[in-house]
Amino acid sequence: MFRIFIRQILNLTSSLLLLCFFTFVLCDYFFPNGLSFIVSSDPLRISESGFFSQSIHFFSRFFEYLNKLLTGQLGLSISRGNNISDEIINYLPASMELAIVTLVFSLSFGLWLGIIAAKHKNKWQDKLILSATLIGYSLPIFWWAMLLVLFFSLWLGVTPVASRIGFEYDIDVVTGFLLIDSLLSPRYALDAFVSVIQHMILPVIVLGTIPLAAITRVTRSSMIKTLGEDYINNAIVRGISDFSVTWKHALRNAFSPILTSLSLQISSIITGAIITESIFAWPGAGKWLLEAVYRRDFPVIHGGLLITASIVIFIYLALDYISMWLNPKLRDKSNL
Amino acid sequence: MSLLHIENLNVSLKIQNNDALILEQFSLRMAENERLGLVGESGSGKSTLALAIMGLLSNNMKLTADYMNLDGEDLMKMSLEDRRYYISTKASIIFQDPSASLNPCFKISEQINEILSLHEIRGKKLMHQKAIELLDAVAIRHPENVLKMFPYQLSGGMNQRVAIAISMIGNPKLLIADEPTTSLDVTIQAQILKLLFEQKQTSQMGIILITHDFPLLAENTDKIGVIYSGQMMEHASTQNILNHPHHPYSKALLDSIPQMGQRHNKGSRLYALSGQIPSLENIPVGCRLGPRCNKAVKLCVNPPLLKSIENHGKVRCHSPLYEKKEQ
Amino acid sequence: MSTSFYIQHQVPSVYLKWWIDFKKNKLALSALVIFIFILLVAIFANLIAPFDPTTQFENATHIPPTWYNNGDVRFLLGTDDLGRDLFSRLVYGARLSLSLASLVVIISSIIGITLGSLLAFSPSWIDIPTMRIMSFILSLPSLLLAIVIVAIIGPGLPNAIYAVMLVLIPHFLITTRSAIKIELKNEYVTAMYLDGANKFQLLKYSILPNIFPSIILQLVVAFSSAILEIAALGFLGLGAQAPYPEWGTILSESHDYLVFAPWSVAVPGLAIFFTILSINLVAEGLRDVMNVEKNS
Repeated sequence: MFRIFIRQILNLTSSLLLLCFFTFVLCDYFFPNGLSFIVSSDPLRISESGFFSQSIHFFSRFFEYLNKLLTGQLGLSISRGNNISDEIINYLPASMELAIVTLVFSLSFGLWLGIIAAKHKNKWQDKLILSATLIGYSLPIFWWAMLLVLFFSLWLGVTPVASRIGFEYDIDVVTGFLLIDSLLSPRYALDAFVSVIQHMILPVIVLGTIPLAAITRVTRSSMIKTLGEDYINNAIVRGISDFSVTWKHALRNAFSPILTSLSLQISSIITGAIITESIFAWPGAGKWLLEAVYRRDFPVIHGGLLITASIVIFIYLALDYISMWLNPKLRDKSNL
Repeated sequence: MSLLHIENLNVSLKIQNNDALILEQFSLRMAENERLGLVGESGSGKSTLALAIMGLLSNNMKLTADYMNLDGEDLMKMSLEDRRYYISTKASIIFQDPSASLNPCFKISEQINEILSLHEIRGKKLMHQKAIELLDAVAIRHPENVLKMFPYQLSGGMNQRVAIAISMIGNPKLLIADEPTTSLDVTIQAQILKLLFEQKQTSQMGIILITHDFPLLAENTDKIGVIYSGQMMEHASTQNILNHPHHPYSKALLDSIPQMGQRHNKGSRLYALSGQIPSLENIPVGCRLGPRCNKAVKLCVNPPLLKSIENHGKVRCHSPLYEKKEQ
Repeated sequence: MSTSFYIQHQVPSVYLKWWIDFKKNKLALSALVIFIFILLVAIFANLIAPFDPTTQFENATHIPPTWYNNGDVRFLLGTDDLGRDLFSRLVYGARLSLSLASLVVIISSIIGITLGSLLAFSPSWIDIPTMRIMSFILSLPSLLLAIVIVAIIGPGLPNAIYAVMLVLIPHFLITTRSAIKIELKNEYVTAMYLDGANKFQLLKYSILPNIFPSIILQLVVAFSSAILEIAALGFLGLGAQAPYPEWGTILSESHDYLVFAPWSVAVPGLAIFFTILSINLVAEGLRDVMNVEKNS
């Protein structure tokens, strides 16, 4: 296990270094001016004096840049002059909350629907679920979001149109996750929590549709393959209960393609979050990043890209660990 | 009383709105403690029969039968759950691919313990002790070590031993071995078969050995059933089939076994039945062997029935081989 | 076997077999028909559309579709906030979206497949680092990458197209490279190599015909994701700009009038949805027919 750990650390460091190098080259080539906003706390003085100019060697510029990142600072926003790290800490929890709830939603329903479809292969349940996933897979999410808003918010009036919580509530920020914070603040009892959930329903459905469809499909095909294996037949014959056969014996073996698909869906959730947040006026990192693009605020885009990519790298690492934990054979292979 | 009695079993598979029969009018009677061999080409429906008895058919297959009597109770009259439970107490199955018959995600000990707990053996110590006894019985040398391992860390032969050991939990009355040695090395094959019949001796159970290897059956079985394209072609005692195969197909199978040493006629060619087993979409009319049978006559376009022949057994053929000579 | 009166099988060629199997799948077949219909609409847009997509009828803004009570016979699907005929805009939008997506897919596939083949045959000190970089890029969210690229080179239709192209190239590269690598392990390739074939001959005669299915599938999948991504960029205001009748742009224009002109949102979205759905169904059918494993 120790060797795996060391290797993972090396992998992680090299990925992160690669990422920093990538972003550095981007900045350095396209926005040398923006770079000084990232590297210095007093950007105007530096760009005037030409301290961080092309005359310094490429690698010493890169190390200066790395040095700055290692202190946890991402520089200043050009348009607002704010510290970007602080802005990210402000906006990221909202996005994380949305993404995590979406992930839980799509994974739980995806597994459930996929297993139902696999167990009723070629029956009507299977056909219904399969066609539903194909439709879900083909929905342009910006349109899907507008349709849901039109139907549930404007016509039926059951869900709110935008933002994270009703404006009448004033919640103290503790974790940044409103689902938790609203429960922590005793002022409104459960009302605030209910409001948070109401605000969350539509964005989660919109963001979760494609991952849900993908996970359902993968679960179905992987489960069909696994349920036909001899060890499953053996488990059935030896009198193990149907529930245990499905959820313990089969699902665990069927899980590694599902994990692979999950890692692809992480990207799709981040992509979707940018669109969803801008439609539902969700005050998260995606919307913040998109606005920076409109303003061509390069240091902010840089910070957003860096943070998002690092998050993706860490998620991949975590998924690696999960798949090793689930599959003993893989655990052994990476030991060699 | 017979251990297993199947009458008129049909298993059909839906292929593009047509029902293709994988098993047709299949009847079988097996006594307690009997060693029955089932032989046939690949694709003849041998394994489907095993799955049908164990209630493991996939849901695109349909099963009908007059009755399927396992140790005194009719399986056809039971509900799905009852049937599952009943089979789990009465019968066990061993599959062809030993590496696929154990769950790759769990240690051997976990897999054994799970089944033990289903048979009311609880308590850590007791389970461990019982597990070691089980592995001892299948001649595994270091049971403590094996218990801690995952299936992929064991060889094919070892996996098959473990699979046999797990099947023996709860003393089943019927053990179906579906090509248990096909994917093993020849030297291991003999060991596993020996082991299988030792188990049978100690626990008094009936055993169905499914294979495409005739010589294997010659030594180890009391009766043989010859299956072709989903039908029982000939069902008789081992001696009768080996000495006087009444069905042309049984004869063809026997003739295609290479003879070694003295019995080999120099210069003779090994017999091979022409053609191949029909696919499910185009099953021939009448006798299913028709297109491949060198004795086929006009009568063979009518489907033959499984008829009893005195002093022999049952044969599904319009003109059985030895009958004419006797008349 | 000459005397046998039992039926003999005639074995069709591979492509014919694919087509025969594909035809049996009624859903995929009808999706193909719908897709060809959309394609024809795109090609003959100037014959089908009654108006120019940018013509503004000043006293006919926000007219609902014909079947509404206050609809206008001239405007089948109604008009937008500037009085432009929605039907004409959609028809021209089909031409724009499909042609742009084809352009993107063709260019990025040529680059990706070429680089992928080169990579598969190159020594490991080139192959391994390149693959690492490519899979790293692939792990990043595609739209985020496209947005960053657009942010660097500035918004607008051509830049959005470059961005989508750049995002799609690694997909083709990795698919081709890993398909070839798998193919190279096969013994018939070894046999051909031992017969004295050089790398180019290996590629042409023994590898390309075998990886053809996965490339075709990748093309189809890339086509649908190109359409979606161009539309998404258009919707976010980073792709095609205002007068262009691009589907995503039309949607983002009508977003503001969601409440009192819901049809102007529903209809362009339906166009994108049906196009993507038909492509996905065709891909599904092809995958079944050609026996390509998903996520190979």
